[in-house]
Amino acid sequence: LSAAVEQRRNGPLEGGLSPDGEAFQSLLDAAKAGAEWAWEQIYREFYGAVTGYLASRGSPDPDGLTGDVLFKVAGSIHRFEGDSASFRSWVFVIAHRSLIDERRKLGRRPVQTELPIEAPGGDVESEAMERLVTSELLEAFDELTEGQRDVLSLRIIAGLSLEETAQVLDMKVGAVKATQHRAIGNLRQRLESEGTVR
Amino acid sequence: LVGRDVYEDEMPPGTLVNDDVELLLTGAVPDDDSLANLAPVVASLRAEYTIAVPESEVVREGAGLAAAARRAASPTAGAQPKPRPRRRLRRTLVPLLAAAAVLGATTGAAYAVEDSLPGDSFYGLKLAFESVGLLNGGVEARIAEAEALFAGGKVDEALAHAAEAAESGNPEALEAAEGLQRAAEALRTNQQGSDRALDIRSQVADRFDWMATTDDTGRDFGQGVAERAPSSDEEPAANASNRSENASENAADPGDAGNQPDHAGQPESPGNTDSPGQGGGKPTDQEDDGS
Repeated sequence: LSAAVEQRRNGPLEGGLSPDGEAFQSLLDAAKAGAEWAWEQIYREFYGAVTGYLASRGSPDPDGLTGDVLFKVAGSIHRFEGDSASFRSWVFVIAHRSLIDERRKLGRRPVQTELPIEAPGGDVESEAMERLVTSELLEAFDELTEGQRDVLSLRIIAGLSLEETAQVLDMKVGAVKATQHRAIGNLRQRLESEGTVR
Repeated sequence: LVGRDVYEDEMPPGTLVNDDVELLLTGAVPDDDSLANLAPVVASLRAEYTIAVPESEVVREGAGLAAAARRAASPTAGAQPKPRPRRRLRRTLVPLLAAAAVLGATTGAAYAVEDSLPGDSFYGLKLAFESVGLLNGGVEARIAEAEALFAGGKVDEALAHAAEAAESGNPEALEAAEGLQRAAEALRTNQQGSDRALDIRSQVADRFDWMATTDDTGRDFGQGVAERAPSSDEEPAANASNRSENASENAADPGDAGNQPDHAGQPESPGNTDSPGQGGGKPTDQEDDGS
């Protein structure tokens, strides 16, 4: 795999939590002790990723649900032991199960959050990218199975690794691989037939 | 449930290569041309759901989360949490009445089912109602029952019941354990009565303390609770008398088990969402990836 993949897999998320064991342990210890600086860092690290994941999976109130998730993390962190990758998985396990709880409470299946299509920017590349965010893409994503959307959201939007995704979804790594293969294959087939991609 | 093992190592037909898919999903451009064409789509999805951190909220949210962590680690530290409104029993009233109507039962019988506790004749019916969704059940109901048992002087039953609820690892069950710890403190402060009563109070208080602070879960938790049971040479009559005494003393204490802390932002009815591997199992509403 390329260095870029390794960096994304092993490196800090958006410049946040360091994969360095000692540094993470210091952060974890401080968070357990209730140090505000540590929680500010955790909030910075996870707010966007968790909210994005919840939004992509149809939560009607992703911001509010993210708040619930982080408070659950804070309420249980004194029992957590592990490295930064385990911590990231643990946070998303809580997020995923909170999402399921929310769906049960609301008594409905997830809805596809409509992606706002912003006005095209000035350069050709960004215009091309915006053009791709069309109803075809949304429909193609929406036609994937729940499991496929879970996997793609965790991999693409939350930025989790294969192993982390498997842990969050309580699946085996091989099953996650198979699911993402099918998802990508279906997405490609659908978008090619629509002429969205070549 | 069907898909997990069946799809193990089963790759779909086609020419997709693992490394190419990994490159695509992690934001790089794969070597495979058809997958490379999907790279902008993946980038679009990622960009659309990239949520900026609200800088103005970071300090306030960080402080709130830090306070929640301190409360969880040490129930006596930090600001005193406000009591949770006791609304759960009322919330279950409407579905109960509906169930009673279906079964041709009287309203009085419905209340009897609603308020039944472990050991009561209607308790089995209550669990049956919960199992079909006619009553709100789960951890919340079990905690409420433990509190009711405790208030009624049935300390051992309350402890055993709370232990079952806490086994779930649910944050609310842990909150209940915090409430029980306050009850233990209330018991300790009341040093009146016979030596036997004091001894029983001490044992019960120790048991509460352990429940509220242990990291054990599941079988270990249950075993720990059992090991801390009051001495077996106690006379049942004395036990019952002291329990009633304790309960009435405790009921007058504002810090009794009935006053539960309320985590800010905590949902009313969280599921087993607090840690991986607890409550385990694949979520029931998760589908496999198709066939």
